Parts: sequence; C-alpha cells; structure tokens
Amino acid sequence: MSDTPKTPNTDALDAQLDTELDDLLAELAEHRATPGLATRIAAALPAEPTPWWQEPPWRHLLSPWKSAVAALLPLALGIALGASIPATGDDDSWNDSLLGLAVIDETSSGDLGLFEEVTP
Amino acid sequence: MDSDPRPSEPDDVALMHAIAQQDRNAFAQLMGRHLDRVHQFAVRSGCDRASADDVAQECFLRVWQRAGSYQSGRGSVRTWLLGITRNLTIDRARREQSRPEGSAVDDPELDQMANGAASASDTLARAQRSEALQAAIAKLPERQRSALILCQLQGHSQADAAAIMQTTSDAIESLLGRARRQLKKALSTKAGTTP
Repeated sequence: MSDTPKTPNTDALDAQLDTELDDLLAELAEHRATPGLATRIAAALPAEPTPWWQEPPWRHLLSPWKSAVAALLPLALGIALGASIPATGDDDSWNDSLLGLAVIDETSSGDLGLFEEVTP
Repeated sequence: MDSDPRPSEPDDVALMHAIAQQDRNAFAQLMGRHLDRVHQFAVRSGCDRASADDVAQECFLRVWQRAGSYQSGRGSVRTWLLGITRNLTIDRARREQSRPEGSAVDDPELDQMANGAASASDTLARAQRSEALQAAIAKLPERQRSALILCQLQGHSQADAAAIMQTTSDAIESLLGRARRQLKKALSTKAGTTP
C-alpha cells in the first residue's frame, strides 16, 4: 500500500482508476483466436498409421511372398558374392575344386592327339 | 470466449479419453471449447498473434500426444490446458529475452479500432488507454500477469488459478492486488502525460 495519507481526492481518483481498469480489462476479456487456427492445428497433427483391418486385403496376400523373398535374399547374395570373390593366398584347394575338370596334367606330354604333327 | 459443453455433449474428461484413443473428432471438439482461452492467455502474456498461434498449436499437439497421461483427479482439463500454455509462454519468453518493448500490443483488432475510429477522438483516446494497459500488463512480473489473466480476463476462481499456477489461493489474491496496483499506477501515469 502507498504510504501517502488518503484524502477524499485520492480516494475518488483511486475509485475512478479502479472503475476504468475494470472496464478496460472487460474489453480485453473478449478474445477470439486467429480465424482458421483450429483447422491449421488439426491438419498439423501427426498422421496415424492405417490399422491393419483397414488395409486392402491383397497386401496381406502378398505378405508371405515378401517374407519368403526377404528370407532368401541373404542366401542369394552370399552365392553371388562367393562366386565372384577370387581365391587368395596359397590355398588353391577352393580354386582347384571349382576348376577340377579343367586341370591339365602337366606331367603328360600335353599331346591330346587332337593335332597331328606336320613335318615340313 | 469458449463454450461449455451442452448437456447432450460429452464432457472434457470423456473427450480426453477419446483423444487418448486417437479420436480426431473428439480432439476437434475439445479444441473448439478451449482454443480461444489458450490463445488469449498467450496473447495477454506478451506473445504477438503469430507467436500465440504457435503456442496454441504446441499446446494442443501436446494434448494429442499426451492425452493418456491426463489424470482427472488432479484438476480439470481446462486447468491442465492452461498450465501447459503458461509453461509454453514462460519458455518462449526465456527464449526471446531480447523482445522489443511494445510488441505485446501488436494486436490487429486494436489497430483496426484505432484506425477506423480516428475521427472519434474519445474512441481513439480509449484505444490508447487500452494500449497503455496492455503494455503495462505485458510488463508485469510473470506471476502477477498470469494471476491477472486467469482471474480478471478469463474469470477463473482464485482456487482454479492457484491450481493452474501451482500455488495457494492466498498467493493468488496477493498477486492480484499487486498487479492491480501496478496497472492503476501505469494508467494514472499515462493520464498525467496525456494532454
């Protein structure tokens, strides 16, 4: 509270300010949010995932196939990678096993009898 | 201002349960009841209208995301909403410490009133008084301002305001008394400088 002693004048002024303050506050009490704000807020809500019972049925028919493909994918990838990786190091057994049929016995003369030696 | 539910409509608590189940219609209904009040709190707390829009959007987004955590035993939905709004405005004020003076009265309605009625001097004078009051409200300490908005502008009881601000009714009464004294002082100063 103010320390100044109250006089009839200050009382009247105080009452007048009280009235004015109440009037102005009553005006400020009327308030409307920005038009369209509610629509904007509703549109900004995160989209909810579609429940499974509202999805088209063909998606569920496809799902076992998708699962099978997904399961086989690593195997197929492994085979493809394995075939393309060259042998490294001294161990040629892996390479030999793949090329076994094509190994030529170097101890033989090499003459497979396919060509006749022609003497000039 | 916001409307209370009609007898045939679900109350706020029922709407909150529905919103927790991601019911968008219930969300729209609840927002229709409380958006004006939430927006008003933000504007009168010193936000311009664009910032108040953001505060209101953030507030209702939290409602959508956290409706399941609302406990009716701890207070009304309105109390919960305004508590969220108050926290958001405090956070925003902290982030915008460099807010220029007078931005709190950036109110298109007031501008329209001032411009459209320029010929009527008394209306213009009243608009200026209203502007001065809004500036004075914006300068009040946060707790005084919140108590004033809740009780004097939005018509909450002191007990409701105490619940929103997590304090006592006595403290609210004291805050209101101090706020009114500050505002009357601002108005009398303004009157003294107005020719």
